[in-house]
Amino acid sequence: MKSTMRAIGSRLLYGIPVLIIVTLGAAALMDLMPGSPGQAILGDAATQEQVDAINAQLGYDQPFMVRYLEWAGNALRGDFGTTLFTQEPVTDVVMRRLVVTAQIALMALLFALIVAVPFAMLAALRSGKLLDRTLNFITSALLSIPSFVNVVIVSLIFVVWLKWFPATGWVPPSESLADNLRYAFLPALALSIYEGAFFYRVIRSDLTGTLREDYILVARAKGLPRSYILARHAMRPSLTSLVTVMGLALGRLLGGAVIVEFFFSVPGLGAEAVNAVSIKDMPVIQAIVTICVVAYVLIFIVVDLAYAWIDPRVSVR
Amino acid sequence: MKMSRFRLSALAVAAAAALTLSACSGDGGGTASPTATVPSAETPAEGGELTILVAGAMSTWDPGSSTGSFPGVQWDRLYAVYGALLTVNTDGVVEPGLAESLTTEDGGDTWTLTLREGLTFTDGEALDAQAVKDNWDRFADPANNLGALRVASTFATTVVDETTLEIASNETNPVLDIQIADSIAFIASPASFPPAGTPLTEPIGAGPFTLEQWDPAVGETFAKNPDYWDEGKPYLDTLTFQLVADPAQRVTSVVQGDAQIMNGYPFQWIADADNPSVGVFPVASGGIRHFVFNTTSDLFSDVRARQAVQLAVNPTELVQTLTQDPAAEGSTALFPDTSPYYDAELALPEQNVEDAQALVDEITGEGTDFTIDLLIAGVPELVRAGELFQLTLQELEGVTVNLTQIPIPEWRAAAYDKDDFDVTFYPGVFDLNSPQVGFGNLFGVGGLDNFANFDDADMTSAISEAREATTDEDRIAALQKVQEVYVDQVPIMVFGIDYRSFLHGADVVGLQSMGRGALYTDRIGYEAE
Repeated sequence: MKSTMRAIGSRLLYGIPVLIIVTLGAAALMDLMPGSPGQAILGDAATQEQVDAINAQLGYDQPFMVRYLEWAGNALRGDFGTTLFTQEPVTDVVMRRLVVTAQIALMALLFALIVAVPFAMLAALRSGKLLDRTLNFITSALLSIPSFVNVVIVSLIFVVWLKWFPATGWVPPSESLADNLRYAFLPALALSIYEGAFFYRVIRSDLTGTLREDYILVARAKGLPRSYILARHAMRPSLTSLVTVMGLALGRLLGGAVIVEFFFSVPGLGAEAVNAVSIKDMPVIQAIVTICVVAYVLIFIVVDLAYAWIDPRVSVR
Repeated sequence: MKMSRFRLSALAVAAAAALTLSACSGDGGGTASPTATVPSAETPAEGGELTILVAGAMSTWDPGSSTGSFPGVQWDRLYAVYGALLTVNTDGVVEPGLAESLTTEDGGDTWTLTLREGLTFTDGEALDAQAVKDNWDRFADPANNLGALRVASTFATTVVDETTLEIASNETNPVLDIQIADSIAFIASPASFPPAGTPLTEPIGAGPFTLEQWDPAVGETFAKNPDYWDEGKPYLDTLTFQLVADPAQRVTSVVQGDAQIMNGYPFQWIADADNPSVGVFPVASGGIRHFVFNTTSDLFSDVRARQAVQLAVNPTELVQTLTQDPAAEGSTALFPDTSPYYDAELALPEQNVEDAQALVDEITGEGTDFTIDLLIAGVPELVRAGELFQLTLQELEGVTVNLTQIPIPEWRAAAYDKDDFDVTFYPGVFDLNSPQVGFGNLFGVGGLDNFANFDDADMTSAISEAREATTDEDRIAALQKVQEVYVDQVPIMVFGIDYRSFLHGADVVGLQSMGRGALYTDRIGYEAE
């Protein structure tokens, strides 16, 4: 237990320099962007004096490092400032969006696993056979379809043709869980297509290797059923790569579901990032970047811990 | 076939509008008296929730931030929360609202605004003449940097009594009523004014609804204002504006019944034109589709360059590419042929590539680089049109076209405030339901829509004559001069006439639009069972 805590602590420490570099980069990017918060609020027709006055009011007239340190100090206390236009606490806005994106990302991972694991097991059992080759072809095709095409295909099938799901919108689970799932289904499905194909290939590859191990041959020689061997002896050692790619996928989905959220009008982190960039809402942009970095660091701590759980021979240091 | 039927109905409505305009224009535009509202086809039932899909987010609720009564931008939502003192209908006639009338007795030097009795904001404060004065004074203060400054700074006001405000125009302005109705018609409770330079985030008005929820990434929800001045209205209990950025997704949502209204153009929903679950409401006043030359750029300050481009472009090809309607016909006149101001002689010359090349050769022969920076707002139809423009112009020897796409919310700032273009396509149609005001915006020095930076003495004089005309003959003569300067100087190139429309659920009734297409949201509702 002590070693696990030490491992978590050390990984958190490793995450600090990453966090500093990325947030410094985000702050610097904002300085490199054309315009300023004052300009964004007042519009391009404002005089320089008016813009300068607003920038001074918001503290954007301070030197870069002074602003960064002040921002970092506040961020450590969970205060990311207020949005430029709605004057809401940025933390509230970003957390509201994060919940939506996290729900869709987790649903997408679930969908991907539900499809990928059984098909990967089937393909591994029939390695090199027609089913395996067919599934390899299909997943190659799915991996090559960009998300902006995925969303259109999913919408065409489930909204236009089948009329099973709404085209756009969002209902929070607090209002209606059933409606929430209806609205979340298609964005999650669209996101799960790539991840599902990717998971399939990783699991299939690992399983195929594991099924050639000596201890599997021994189990087969003992006459154990193939399904039992697969579930009890082959699956667990084949999960390490899957856990890594799931961690990567979750991080990617949290920060990168922009196209899907835009297309289905889902008020998630991606949609907020697009909105914030378009109106140059710099406190929001900085907060989203920070949240994504923190999420990545936390996800990889969980992934490292999961390795040890899956394979006790792996020690966490 | 589907498209033709749409176009026929739209043209029929436009023709009716033009006839009405012709009939109504004799009063000189200087008087806005209580006018009967065009009756809705059906009075809606009370109650219900309705969702309107829009593409853009609200960044401020400042009543001085509006840029005209266009649908799908700020106007509909500001109207929902503030109502309007006055509005301009599709015939170009000013309709009463919170104000009973705005009249002038001296041709536009002084005006009298008369408010309805007993108006209150939703915070309980009185909406009286002093509140209107406070709002307009705030608009006119440059420290607030509001778009309303342009109109609000052209007059001074004096409170006469609770319901009467005297307006003294800086210059004779016979169309001030239209300008007020289309620019500074929204009045907020003075208690809600934010400090200068701070966005107004908690709007308090006297409109048909109150703002319940606002999330810039999602949209807004409004609840019925039970104390709205127009008894019985609004019909809806809840009105929602939902952001859906993708136009095809907006259409699908309305067709599926997940939302009830979206604005756009018929070519966006051709596939669903005959779907019984939806209807189409065309805005009666049409407008021009055009692209603009920056007449202050190095290249296009030379009228020959503008003429060369105009001669190279085929308007029918352009409008067909934009609308994807093979039956669409190009037009280079400033008015549709149904308008009393239309003159077939006052259109641009037909496409003539040889003459265009000769002009290009002449200009490049003088050492001028014929490179065109084409600025396009990134919506599919404009991108299509822009790419055709690029291909067409690059057919000419010596011409290069650099196409830049920018997000549509950034287009106005890039084109109007920064003049960052040689040629740009106006997104949507430019409405000319009140041409005496519209041309002032389009071609007048400092005009709100003078993206061309056009500054021409003859045009300025013609626009003034049109504004000051008191008879149909005078107005037609003045607008003829406007068209002559347009043909001679080509500050813009019109390539088609089009009509804004709304796609709506079949059970939605009471749709009526203002001059530039924004809906009267207090009149919308569901069909009574």
